[in-house]
Amino acid sequence: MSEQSYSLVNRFPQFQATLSEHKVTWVGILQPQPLSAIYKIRIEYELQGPPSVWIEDPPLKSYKDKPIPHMYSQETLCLFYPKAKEWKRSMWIYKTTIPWISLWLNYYEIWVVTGEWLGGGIDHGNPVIEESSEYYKN
Amino acid sequence: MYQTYSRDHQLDELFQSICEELQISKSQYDQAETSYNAVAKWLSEDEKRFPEVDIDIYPQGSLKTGTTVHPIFNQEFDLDFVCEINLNWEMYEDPIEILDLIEERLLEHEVYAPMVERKNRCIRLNYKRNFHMDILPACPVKNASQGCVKVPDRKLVDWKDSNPKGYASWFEETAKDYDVSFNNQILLEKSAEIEKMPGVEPIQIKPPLKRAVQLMKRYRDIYFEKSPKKAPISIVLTTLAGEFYGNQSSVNDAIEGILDGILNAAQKGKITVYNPQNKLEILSERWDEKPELYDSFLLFIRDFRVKWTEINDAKEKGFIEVAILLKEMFGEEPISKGLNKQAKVNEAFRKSGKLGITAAGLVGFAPTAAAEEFTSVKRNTFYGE
Repeated sequence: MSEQSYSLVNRFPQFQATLSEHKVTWVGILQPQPLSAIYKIRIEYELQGPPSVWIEDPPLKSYKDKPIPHMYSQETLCLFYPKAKEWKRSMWIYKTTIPWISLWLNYYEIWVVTGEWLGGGIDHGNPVIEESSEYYKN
Repeated sequence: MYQTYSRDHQLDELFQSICEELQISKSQYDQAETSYNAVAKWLSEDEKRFPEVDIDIYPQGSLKTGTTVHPIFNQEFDLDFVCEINLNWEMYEDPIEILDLIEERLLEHEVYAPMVERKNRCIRLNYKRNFHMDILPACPVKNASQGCVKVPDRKLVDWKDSNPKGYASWFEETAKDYDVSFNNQILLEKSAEIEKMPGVEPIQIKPPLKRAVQLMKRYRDIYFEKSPKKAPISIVLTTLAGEFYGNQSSVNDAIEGILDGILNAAQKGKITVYNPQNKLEILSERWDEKPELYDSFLLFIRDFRVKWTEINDAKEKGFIEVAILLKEMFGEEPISKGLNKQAKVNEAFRKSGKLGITAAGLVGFAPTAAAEEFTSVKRNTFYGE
């Protein structure tokens, strides 16, 4: 965990780590496009499982009051498909999670404007419709 | 590349992409070109009406200047052509005679006959779904400067002066002449990078004045949606844009400069718009006939200027705020389509492993020079409700 933390802060020095006995918390900022707002991100990483990611600020917006795609309970980001083993604990968070957050934010911003999720992905209930952005239309 | 790809560059890229969605597509353009060449051939082969007479059909207006904008409710473009017939206009006291000759000839053709529609001062050919061609007859003026022609006036009682060719080259020269303070080279480089990827198309980066004119025409269409008869005509907007254009190298600054220029001029007195290449042609003649049209033009420009400040203020807030304002101004469709294309480009780079983020988190495709500072995006599938 301390290696994860060191490498993350080394590559993205705008993140600060807080280490406790059971988890690491990183808080920092990311800006997915030059015109984007600056998003404050919180990442929590426990002894087991993948990192959890919250967008703390600014508050996330919606398109026509619809739920934001690719989130767990509208709270944390779904950044990868667990069954595809795209993320393993042996992977570097700074090389995986952080770029995925930027990309997620990029597509989230477009979704708020157009109502379409253009970044592909799999829906919880319907894992067969892989990469179908049509599903999220309107 | 990414150190200098700024907010203003992204905003200009958005403008360029909106305009690309508004304009005539390459295939429609090619189709129109084939069509007007065929029409020209048919007319010039008329031994009865036009024996030994040179006939030249050429695009004028937005098609010629590269500033087409499709109408709000459909994709059908209104394409204007001049049919220059080398006849002595003084022999035809009434220009209607020449219109009649063209119409008669087109009606003899089995394909054109059902497409012909007689308009007040031109002949329209309706090509299903894509566009219609308005053909305006013209006769050259002898001993006048290059490109000067006589065309039927709006009321069709007499000939009036015009110079569509001269106008187009004036606009082209004005548009070409922009300074380099805002480095739009970055946008061109990005386009070139996208061009190398199979299956995706880059945004065509046009001179800022052309994009400014397209956006002005589009906002005009939206602003006057419920009262289209009050809207200033395209050639008036295009001419004013060219005259008040201050060689800005971004679309954003170009529009600001043009709007300020119009508003300043209006404070000094009523604006009259002439054809810059033929001062005998008053393009804003409608404003003399109906002064209320001039008033609605000014209200439109003032509103446009207010909206422009709002967009530039929104740059401080975020992409979402900017894009939502653009949607209100220019319509949902061109924004959504434009963003859709940009996302496809991102996805193409992502699939080929060339998408990455900078230290600040900016998403983009790996520029070789900044490779060390770039963290590439590993394969992932957004999963969730």
